[in-house]
Amino acid sequence: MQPDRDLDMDRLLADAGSRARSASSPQPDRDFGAKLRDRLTAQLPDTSPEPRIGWSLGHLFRLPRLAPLAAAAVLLVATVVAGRELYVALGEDPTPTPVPSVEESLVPSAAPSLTAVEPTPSATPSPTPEPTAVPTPVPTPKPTPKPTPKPTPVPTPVPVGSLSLWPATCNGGVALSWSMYEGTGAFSHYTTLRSTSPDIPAGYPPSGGAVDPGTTSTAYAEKTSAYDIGVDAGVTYYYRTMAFNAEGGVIAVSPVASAMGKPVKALGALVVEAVAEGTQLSWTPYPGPAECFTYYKLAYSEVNPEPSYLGGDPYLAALGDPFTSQYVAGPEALVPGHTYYIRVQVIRATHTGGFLVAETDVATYTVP
Amino acid sequence: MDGQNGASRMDRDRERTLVDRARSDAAAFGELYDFYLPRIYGFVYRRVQERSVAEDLTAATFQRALETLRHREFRNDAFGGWLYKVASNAVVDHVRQGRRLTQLDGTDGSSGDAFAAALDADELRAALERLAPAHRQVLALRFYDDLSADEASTVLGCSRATFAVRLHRAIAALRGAMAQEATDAA
Repeated sequence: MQPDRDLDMDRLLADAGSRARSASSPQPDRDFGAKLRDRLTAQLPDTSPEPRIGWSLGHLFRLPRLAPLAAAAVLLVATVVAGRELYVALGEDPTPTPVPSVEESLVPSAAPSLTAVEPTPSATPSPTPEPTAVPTPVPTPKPTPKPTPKPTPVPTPVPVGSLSLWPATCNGGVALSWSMYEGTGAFSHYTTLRSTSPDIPAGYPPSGGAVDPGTTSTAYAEKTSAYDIGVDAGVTYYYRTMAFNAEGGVIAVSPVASAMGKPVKALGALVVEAVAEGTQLSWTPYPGPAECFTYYKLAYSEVNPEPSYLGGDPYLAALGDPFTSQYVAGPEALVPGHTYYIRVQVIRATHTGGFLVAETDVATYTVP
Repeated sequence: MDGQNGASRMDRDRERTLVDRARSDAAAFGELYDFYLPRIYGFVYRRVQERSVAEDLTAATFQRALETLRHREFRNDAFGGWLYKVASNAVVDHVRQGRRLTQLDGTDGSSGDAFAAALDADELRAALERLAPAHRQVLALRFYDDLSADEASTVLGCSRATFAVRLHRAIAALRGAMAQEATDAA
């Protein structure tokens, strides 16, 4: 009766797991989810069939922070236009009534008196002369006091601060590091722009031939590194990092700095062999600069002939010493009789993710 | 209530279509994102138990997904399982950043510990704590994270058949541990 017992345990574990999951898994914060969604989808073309009202309006609606403002603006314009048309249709003066200020609207205005319609006096002379009716004085509406125009407070402009930027030419991409924003502006995020020209205007969206690589935005002031793998080997690229406030205004900017694209470095063969302690891997160490090395990842897979750590395959080990050239995996790591594809990869990690710097050839190994 | 929205699995054909379109279509990527965000966030949160860290690792996971799709490097048939694997790697990397980056193995035994800690049944929790980390990890992926066999096998980097064997062994070990618990308590 093994299957029944397995089924019972399955049910027991599924119920317990569901209760545990329910008790320990909060939903992601809505603001976080929406911001991340916007940041990600902004890196892809928008091919949804939504109608566009010209470039500027369509663009405005796709900017999440401005969408409510844009909608309110359109609603206001539509209301004014519709209102004017209604007035014209009714033959009334379309001149807009002055809108009272907030202060005024809080003061109760003199309501127009409702005068009862008196019956028209009959033409037949009455024997008793009625006393002449004293007309009820209709209160003259007081002119609405014009509010004294108050000067609109002009916000004190936050001075644009400066950042330092250090792009590192690495195999496989450019590693970008910059100094932290320490100004008084309300920090929202960093973005670094790339160009093949040293002239990169400060601001967003990019202009003058500059582009947003899509992998350089970080939303925390202390996260000051990123990467760019959208580069071609042998080409010099220029970068400028900017800090923005929530309204998209630039609050700090770096000078333009350059780096060059280089291909992923090939480390040659990976030798895998059985030893007494398990499985030994040997490779040629990464010869490049330390600023391009974060760790080796010993990626492997039973099913993917091109194992890749960044591609989501598991790894036997992460090794933080660039001079390492050997690793022994214990007997529990790989299952005897199974065949594995194994590769050593050099990864450069940044705050927006890692990129592949160098890798060995893939070794196919069957565990004895 | 399982702490996630809607159906627990996306239709495979629908997922394939979206993955194919998401290389260059923000709406398709957005649909994948909307479906997997609460799942990946929950998967990460259960392991790190800290909101800001869970947000960072979730963001890094989806950024990685986007880049992989854009550069047409996605070769796996199961997008969901692959996404969980990327998140799992991110968690392992995060956990180990606190230590020296010397010889590290690639397992994530902490999920099994978290599963045991979150259980409300004392008998089951005690039995789970008796298991080897590898058994706990398999049970956590299947029952705590509610991953399908395809997704869990992708996370573990093994075939579906191998995962089935590992799950069967883990359940057998748990049954033995529960019997031992009952004996000890008597």
